[in-house]
Amino acid sequence: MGTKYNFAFFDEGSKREIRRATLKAVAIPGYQVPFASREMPIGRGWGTGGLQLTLSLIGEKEILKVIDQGSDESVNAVNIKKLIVSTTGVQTTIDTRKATLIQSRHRIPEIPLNKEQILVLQVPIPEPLRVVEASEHKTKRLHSESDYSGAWLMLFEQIMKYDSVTHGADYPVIVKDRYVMSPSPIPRFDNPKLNNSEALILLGAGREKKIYAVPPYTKVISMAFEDYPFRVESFSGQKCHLCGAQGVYLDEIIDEKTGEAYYQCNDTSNCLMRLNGGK
Amino acid sequence: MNFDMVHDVQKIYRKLLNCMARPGVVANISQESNKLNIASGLSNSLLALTFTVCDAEVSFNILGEHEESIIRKVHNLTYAQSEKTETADYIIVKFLAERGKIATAFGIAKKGTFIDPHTAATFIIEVETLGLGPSLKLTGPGIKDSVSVEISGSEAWLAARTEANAEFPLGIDVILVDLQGNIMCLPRTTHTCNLEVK
Repeated sequence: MGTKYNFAFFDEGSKREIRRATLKAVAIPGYQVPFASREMPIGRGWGTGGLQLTLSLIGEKEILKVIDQGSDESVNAVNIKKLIVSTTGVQTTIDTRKATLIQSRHRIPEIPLNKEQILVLQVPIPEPLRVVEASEHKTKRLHSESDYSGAWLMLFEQIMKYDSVTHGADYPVIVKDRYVMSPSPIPRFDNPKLNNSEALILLGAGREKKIYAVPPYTKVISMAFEDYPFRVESFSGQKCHLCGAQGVYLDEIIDEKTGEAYYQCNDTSNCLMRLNGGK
Repeated sequence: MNFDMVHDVQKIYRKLLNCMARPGVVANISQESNKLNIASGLSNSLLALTFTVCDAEVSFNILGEHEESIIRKVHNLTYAQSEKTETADYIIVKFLAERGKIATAFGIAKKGTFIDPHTAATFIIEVETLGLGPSLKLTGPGIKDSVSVEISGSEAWLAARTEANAEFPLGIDVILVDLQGNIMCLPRTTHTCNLEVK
C-alpha cells in the first residue's frame, strides 16, 4: 500500500473507543452516545463522524461505497473514498448491491439494503432539539425525561405559520417509541427506509462527538400530528429524463436557456444501473 | 500463526457488532481467537473479546476462580483498570463462576443513568453452550418477529438480568460466549420469555 499509517488510518486505541461507543449505540437505539472524536485529515463537518465509523468497521475484504447526496462521484465522496482506500487497500464499488459497507452523506440508497450491509450516515447536527434548546446540558436532560414538547411545538409552529411542516431534510423521528432522533439531513423521502430496515444503520457526528444507531427491525416513526400526517416529497407525474424512473427521489434541474424544469435521479448508481438494463 | 491485534480484532468486532444488532444471531470467533497463545487464565474466546473492547480507558472485573491472578494478568495485557463489580465497565464472567454470583452482579453493576445510559456495565459471560433452541424466546429491536435460543445455565441469572433492565434506557448489555467460541448478544432492549417449563 506504500503508506506509513496503521491499517485504516487509526491507531487501535482510537478504533476501540469508537467500537465501544458503537456497541452502546446499538444497545440504546436512537440515543446519542458521546465518544472521543478524533482529529481527522478532513475538516470537521465534512463527514468526520461517518469516516471515523467507517474506519473502525472496515476490514481487508470490505467492498466500500461512498456517496454524497446520492452521487458516487462528487467531491466529498471521492475524497473520503481516496483516504480510506489509501490506508486500507480495500475494493470500492458504485453498485449498491455489491457493497458491504456504505458511507453516505444525506441519502439512503434507492435499492433496499440487505442484512449483510451496514449503512453509515454522516451527521452535521445530531441533536434534534438543538433548534429549541441551545444548551447540551439541558437537551440531555430533556432526552432523559422524554420531554419532547419542544420538538412537537416546533412542528406545530411551522404548521401554524405555513400550514405544513417546513422541514425538508433532517425531519425528526421517534426511535422505538423512546428517543427523538435526527436522521441526518436525508430528505423526508428516505425517512420511511429507516423503519424496520434490514441493514444496520449507524450515524456519526465527528464535530459534535456523537455516535448513534438504528438497529435492524426497529420501529422508526417520523413525528407528525393526526390531522397533519407525515408526507414525503411528491414528484407526481415526473420522471427521470435519463432512465425514466418514477417513484424515486428526483433532483429538479432548471434548463438555463429555456427556463424549464426537468428531473433527474438523485441516486446516480441506481440511474446508471437502470440505463444498463438492471445489470 | 499469531493472533493479529489489527485484523483478527476487526473480524471479531464485526461479528460482535452484528450479534449486538441482531440478538439471537450466533457467530463463531474461534478461527480468530484460537490463534491466541497466552496463559492468561481466560479462555481464548474470552480473552479475544476482552482485547476487542478493553484498554486503558475502561475498567473491568472478573468473576470466576483464581480471580486475583487473572485480573492481574488481564490488566497487564490490556492496561484496563481493575475495579469492583459496582463500578466496572466490563464484567467478565468465567464459565466456572458461581451461578449465584452472576445474579448478584446483575443487581449491583452499573446500569447507567437516565442522562447517561451508555455508562452502564457490559457483561461478557462464558457459558457451556449456546445456539438456536426451543427454550428461550427473544423479542425486541434487531429481531424480526421473534427468535428462539438456548443458553445453557441462563436460568441462574436471567431473572436478575430482566430486573436490571426493567427501566429502559437503564440496563445491562450482555455478550455471551460458549466453550466452542460461539457468541450471541442480549442488549438491554431484548426481552426474554421462557418457553419451556422445567
